[in-house]
Amino acid sequence: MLPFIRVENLHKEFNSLKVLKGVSFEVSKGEVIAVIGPSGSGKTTLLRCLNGLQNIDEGKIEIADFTITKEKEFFDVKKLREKVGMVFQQFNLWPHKTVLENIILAPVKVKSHTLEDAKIKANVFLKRVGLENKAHHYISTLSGGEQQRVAIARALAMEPDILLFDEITSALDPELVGEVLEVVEEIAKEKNITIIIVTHQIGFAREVADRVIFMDKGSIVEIGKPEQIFIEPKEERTKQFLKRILRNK
Amino acid sequence: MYNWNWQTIYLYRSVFLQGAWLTLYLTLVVVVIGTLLGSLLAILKKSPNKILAIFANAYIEVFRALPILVLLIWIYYVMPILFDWKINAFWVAVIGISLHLSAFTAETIRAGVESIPKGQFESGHALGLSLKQIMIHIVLPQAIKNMIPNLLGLYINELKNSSLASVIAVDDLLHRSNVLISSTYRPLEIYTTIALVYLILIFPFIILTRVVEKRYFKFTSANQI
Repeated sequence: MLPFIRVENLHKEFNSLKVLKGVSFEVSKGEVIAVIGPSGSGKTTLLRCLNGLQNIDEGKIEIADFTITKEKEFFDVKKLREKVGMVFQQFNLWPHKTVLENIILAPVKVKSHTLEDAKIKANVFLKRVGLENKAHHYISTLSGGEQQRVAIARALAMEPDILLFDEITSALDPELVGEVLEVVEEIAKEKNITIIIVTHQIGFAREVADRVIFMDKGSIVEIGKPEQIFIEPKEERTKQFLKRILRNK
Repeated sequence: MYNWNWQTIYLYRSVFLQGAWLTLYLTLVVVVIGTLLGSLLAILKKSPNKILAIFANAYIEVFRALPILVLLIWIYYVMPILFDWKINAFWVAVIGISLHLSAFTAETIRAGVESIPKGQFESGHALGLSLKQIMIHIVLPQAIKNMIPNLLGLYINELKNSSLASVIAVDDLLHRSNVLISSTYRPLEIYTTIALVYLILIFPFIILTRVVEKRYFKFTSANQI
């Protein structure tokens, strides 16, 4: 099968700090990829390059019929983002709007859906994340776990081909992590959205991911099936990282 | 013991009413022009065009620094000499105070927009919204809520500053009262009365903001969470 996402020799630096040093990988349609690695390894930056929130310094990204290079005028970043959704660590919901209003804004303004259609669809997605009774609540009245589920529903409402999850449980209290991961697992199982998840939840990565990417210091150290990466990692750095992270559990 | 005589005030009540009306009218015109101009400046200041941004910056710094009194006198006396352009005193006051207000409004708007966390913009971008849509639907509603107390403060200040227009003989509250004093010799009663009238004029502004905040801005902005 042709790769749905192809990243080639991706470089990115911030004020001469090299964050990505030649990252290359491919993802097939419907695959679920987990990206793990120590903080500062460039995981989040990689994700942000994939939907054009970060421009790139060198290399090429082919994603959902779009080609991103450092000459950004060759593609319409807004069109790309219609296809590539993102969920953030800090939720980034809009507090002056209700749950429903958060979800329907982009479908109405970007995809020109009618208000009626958008509302009907929004309720479907709210049901999927188990929050159909919170449609008219303001964001500040929700728990962190509920907020993140709304953020997922908001991303789903654009009916994207690809979803990027950026450490979506890192800002949550431990007892709220489960409800959010369950929702992601449901989406992953359906296999109609290609998913890239940056996460520190090793157990979760192992369960839902088709393949795992281990990154360190701006490079990909190892890519493989979860059972291979987690049980018999090839690289010394992967072993060390897993040892450290599992000891903390 | 000073002999108070409030009769005079009652007798000349129309002077205060007309003066109050002119002060209010002047302030409202200034608020509208100053806010529009200030919004434009705030946008220009963030413009990718360097020349426009530098112009906006210079404008803001100059008119924040100049005292209104100096500005009014300068426009009133120097413009006719330099450009042979004599405008009536009321519009000199409008121009002078609006220049002042717009510089402060621009800074308030900039600070209001910058108070909104980057994540609010980013989630909009990530959903394919344009910057314009993000500003209109996401950032400005929250930023305006944050700005309201500061903007109100600016407007109230300009209402008070409008009394400076009396030096160029605009028929505002203070100017009319000064004229009245010179004919009635009742400065204590008259100054006490205009102090009260200024209070009465300012009070509705405060009530209005409370109502607007309660009615339209019940939510918490992203920077307050």
